[in-house]
Amino acid sequence: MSKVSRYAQMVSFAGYLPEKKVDTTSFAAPSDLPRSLDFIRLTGILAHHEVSENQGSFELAIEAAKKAISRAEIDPKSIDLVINSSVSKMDNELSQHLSPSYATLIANNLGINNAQTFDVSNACASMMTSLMIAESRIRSGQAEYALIVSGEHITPIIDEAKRRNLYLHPRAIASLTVGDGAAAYILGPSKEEGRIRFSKPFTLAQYNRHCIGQACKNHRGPQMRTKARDLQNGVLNNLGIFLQRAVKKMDINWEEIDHTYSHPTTPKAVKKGAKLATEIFGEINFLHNDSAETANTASTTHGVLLEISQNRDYLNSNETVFMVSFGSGLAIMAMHFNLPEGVEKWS
Amino acid sequence: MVVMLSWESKKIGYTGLLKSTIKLAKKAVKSANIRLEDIGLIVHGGVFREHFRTEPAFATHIQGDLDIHCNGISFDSQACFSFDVTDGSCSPHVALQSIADLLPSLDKKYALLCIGDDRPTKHCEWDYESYCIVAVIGQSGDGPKLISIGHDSSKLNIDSTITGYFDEKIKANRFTKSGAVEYQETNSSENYFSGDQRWLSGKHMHEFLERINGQNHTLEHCIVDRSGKSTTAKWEF
Repeated sequence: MSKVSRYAQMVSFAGYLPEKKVDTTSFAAPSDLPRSLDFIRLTGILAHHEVSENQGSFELAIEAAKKAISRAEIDPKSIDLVINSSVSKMDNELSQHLSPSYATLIANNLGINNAQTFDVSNACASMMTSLMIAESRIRSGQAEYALIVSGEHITPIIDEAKRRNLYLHPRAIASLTVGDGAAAYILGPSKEEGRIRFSKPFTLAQYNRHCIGQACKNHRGPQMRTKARDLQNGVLNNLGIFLQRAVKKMDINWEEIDHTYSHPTTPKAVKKGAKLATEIFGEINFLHNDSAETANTASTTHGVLLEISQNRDYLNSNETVFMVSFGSGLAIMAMHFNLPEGVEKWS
Repeated sequence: MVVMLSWESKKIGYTGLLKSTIKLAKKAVKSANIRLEDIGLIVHGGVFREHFRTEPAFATHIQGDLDIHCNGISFDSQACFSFDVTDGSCSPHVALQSIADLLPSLDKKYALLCIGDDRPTKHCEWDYESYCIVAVIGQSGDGPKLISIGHDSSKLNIDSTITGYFDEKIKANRFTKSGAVEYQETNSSENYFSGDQRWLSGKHMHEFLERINGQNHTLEHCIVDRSGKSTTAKWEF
């Protein structure tokens, strides 16, 4: 009997942004910042979204998951693996969920009763790490459909940074670059090889203390401290060779990539990375550098940007997507996949 | 699936998980007769971190302090990938399964499984025995072989949660447990072991490791989390 090969594919995805939009000028005007920094010119971030009352990481994740399940046109009960990738796991009262896994709560809410559920934590690279695990499970036949989901309620770190004297705490300034958001992906089986590919993942642990997120010691809520410039240099110094190795390992042609997404620490940082990539490979067909009004939504950034592209009718069935992910630690990894059939028709 | 080539466990105090993990990792790697640079994957499993840290992954601190491939990327540089997983006390089995999932697709043949918890702050009530566990996992070799990992959520009590919060009265971070739990105690036979439901991940793995010497057939290790959900790892010796 011949063995039937089994592969994985992207069945659907969704991004969700809470309605409340906050302009950057309302909290980071030059007069607020050391040396009268022009924060908007420096980062390219014009605005971000914030949760409304009664919303937290969980509620955001549920919104994205429901949309992704609806687009996948599958019975939620057929999902047998749920991985949560939220870094924040924070409710509206700023309490942090610890146990059992957030994925257990999310699956329960969605009526997904028989799935294995657990959380993956790898900072902003958590979703891509989870996608890598899910792809392996489906390919090996251990799972049929996987939901990878994350809701990030991280804007309380903006308030924490603002409470600080930023002249004395310059490492808190990067906290002003974040926004709330959610994303979800459904992976499922495929008979066709290569619809999802991953680069070799790297953790450059020499940078593991350059961005630390934890509970604020004397106030309710989280805080983040970042050596932003050093961390960005860590990425840019390694990005060129990483991309060359990734493209080779995934066996893809740069010029045939239809859509490219990078983790948007800031739109300005993405431009720097894109310039570097262009010098090596040539023009990027379509760089979706659209985080100016969403900011950095942590693990959910790629899903949020994919949603924006889909809403603008930029995406078509079977076109190819290349996503590069960076996470504190410092994780660097990339993923290439074919867009799901019918993506252009999703509402 | 994968093979556990060597392992170390140690009871630790309220904090100091990272320091203990580093010590045990060096011993486990030596026992497995491999080098630190042969490690291509580090997965940490646990629930509690010092100051309720959310990023970066604890495993990146392990990789950094062991100095495994902490160089820039070049055309022929080798890589190590590190991340955390969590699912209450079932975290060790999730970590093991994640290693089994990813190790075959990486260049390196060995991974570090690291399990343990730190008391988040001195204001947290801490009635747990904390253990630090490190195991070297390979795709093949001599040692207990992981055959399968199953999961069961049929007894899940969704209200049994643990949450970190800021206590305004004492101006400090603590955690609280909710939900009424009738704790299941240790259940052991020749081919089956299930620990006490009150234990943390590290204690579950420590007690399991204490029972595998002399095993020559199979052993099913069941972990029941406080929430009622459980995982069962089947090992062959």
